Amino acid sequence: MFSFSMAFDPFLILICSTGAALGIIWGAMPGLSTTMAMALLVGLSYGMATHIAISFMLGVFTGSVFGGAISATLINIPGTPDAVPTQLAGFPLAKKGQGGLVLGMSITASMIGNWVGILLLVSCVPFILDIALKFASWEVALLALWGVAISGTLTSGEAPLKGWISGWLGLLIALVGREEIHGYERFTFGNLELLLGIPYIPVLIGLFGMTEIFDAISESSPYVIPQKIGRVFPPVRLIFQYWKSIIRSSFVGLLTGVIPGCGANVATFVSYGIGERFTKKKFSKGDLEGVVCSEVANNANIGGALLPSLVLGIPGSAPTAAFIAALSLHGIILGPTIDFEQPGLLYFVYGGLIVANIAMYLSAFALIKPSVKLFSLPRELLLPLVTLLCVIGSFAEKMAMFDIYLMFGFGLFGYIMRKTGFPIGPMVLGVILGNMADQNLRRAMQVFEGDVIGQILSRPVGIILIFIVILTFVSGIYRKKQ
Amino acid sequence: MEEQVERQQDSKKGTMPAIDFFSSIVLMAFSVGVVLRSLQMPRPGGWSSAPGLIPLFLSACTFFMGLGLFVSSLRNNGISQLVTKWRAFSPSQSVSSTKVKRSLWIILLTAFYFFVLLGRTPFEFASFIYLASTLHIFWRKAGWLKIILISTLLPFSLSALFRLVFVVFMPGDSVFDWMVTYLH
Repeated sequence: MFSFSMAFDPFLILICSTGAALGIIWGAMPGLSTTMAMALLVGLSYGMATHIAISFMLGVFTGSVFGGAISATLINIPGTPDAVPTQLAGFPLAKKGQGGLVLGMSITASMIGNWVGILLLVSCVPFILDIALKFASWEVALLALWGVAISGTLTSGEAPLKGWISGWLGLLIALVGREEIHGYERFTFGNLELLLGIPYIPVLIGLFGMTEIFDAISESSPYVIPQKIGRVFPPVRLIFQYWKSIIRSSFVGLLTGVIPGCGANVATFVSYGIGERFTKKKFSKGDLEGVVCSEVANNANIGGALLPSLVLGIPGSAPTAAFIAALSLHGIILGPTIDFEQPGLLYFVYGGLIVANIAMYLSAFALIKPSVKLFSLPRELLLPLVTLLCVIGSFAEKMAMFDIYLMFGFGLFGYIMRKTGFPIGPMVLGVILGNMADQNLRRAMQVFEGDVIGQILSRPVGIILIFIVILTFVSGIYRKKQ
Repeated sequence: MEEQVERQQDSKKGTMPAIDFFSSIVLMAFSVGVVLRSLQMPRPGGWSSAPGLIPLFLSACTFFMGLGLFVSSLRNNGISQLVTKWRAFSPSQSVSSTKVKRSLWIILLTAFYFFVLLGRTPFEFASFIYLASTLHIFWRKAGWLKIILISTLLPFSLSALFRLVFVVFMPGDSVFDWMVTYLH
């Protein structure tokens, strides 16, 4: 039997806070993603009592989503894939000695995002479910393509073409391996290791981590993050100044969370992109509002992703899939009848999210100073140490040496891309979203067979998305001409 | 930031169109290869669910994007700049530059660590060799004792944290494996 007040039991608060602190540390390690943390917890949580397992997992989930921002801001390597936009907007400021403010703002934005996510999760359930249920395969595929296109436009400055090329190459890389509809092997060239595809964790660590290591160490005097990071707590007026971005990003995070398969990575890129468009600013030059857009969205995404998971049993994102799996090990099957079969569970989860949010906020501020001390070590010392974390991060998921070799290959490729002016971010997003785009697009084509045009025209959400995709490309071309 | 400045300087010097010219040709050749491969894939349920459908669509798009880059580099005198750069290129001069030397060192050391040491020797030992050599080459300010201390302590503490607390396996064996076996 569960209840809302049960989540505020002192022992469960302690468990949840420990989870949040461990989650922050985990998320800050390059390549150790929220998904991996949650996946590892599925097995570990089996030995715990159900309410302890839920509290601990919610703490880790909330903490690790924020943790990615720490290394993204301080060493230019995103701890988790969804911290890439935070890295783009926050790292230039950290180099100017404003790392503390960026992190302080990230924490505050994360907390606000979480609150909005929780509030909207509780209040907007029927409305949001109605919108999300309109997203079928066609719309999900378009959303994935848009995510890659917009990230290409945003990360490549005056050369959007290079951003799109990078994203499209990422989508192609994701198609390597046995495809899931007919079981045909694509581009494996007989290599058994490639049969299951190219996992995105080693690609992410290679492209961001190893590239940064190769590039920064090659400089005779690599950059240094100042130890004096200045003010940490953001002024209240600054938070109010960004209220529009906070509200907008909350909705983006929540909506992308509700759509199955769209995790925090889609949320942050879309929110960052829309933010740049609305504010007419270039976040990648270093801008706190960019950090706010990204961090509010990825935390609001938690509440959003839990909604279909709890009510429909459909995971809103990969970490929530692990959450569902962990609960099923405890004999709890999530779905439309959850309120009858497990009375009070939904309210216990709401309470757990509130505790996790507060714990994340306090732990994160406590961990800022030690993080800055650690990450402001001389680059010549820090970067070889980060290599070890990159190795562990790549190896941890599948325990395969091949993933370490992949990471090295992509590190070299990223280094060449950087030197030739191709942005790396869109390629990573392409690799993450490639399979989702492929499967959904082909599934949609099968459904549409015989009347493709008619079917496309009969789907209003799809038409809006097509329009947005075209607008993204046209505005990129227009910007280049300007 | 340095990357952006470097890119801007490259652009000003006019090397970016030359790079774009070269990379657009590589990209178009790659796209044609993927298009051909996609066309060879079977189509058991017709084109709508064919495994080659999406690779074909994506590579065709990539080809046209590559073409766009090619045209843009031509407009910015990409060919003539490539020819000028090629004529001025001297391998001995390039290799002797500090930046190239440092890049080659870190890439070679990392390759040695990944391909030779890891998986064949315990994680802590492989990482000790990698860290000690990398720190010795790049961290000139540090003395031997400091380097050896860091290179020994760090792999052990990381291994202990991940193996014992997070229950994550290390590549190769870890000296903490026996402890985990004993505890279970």
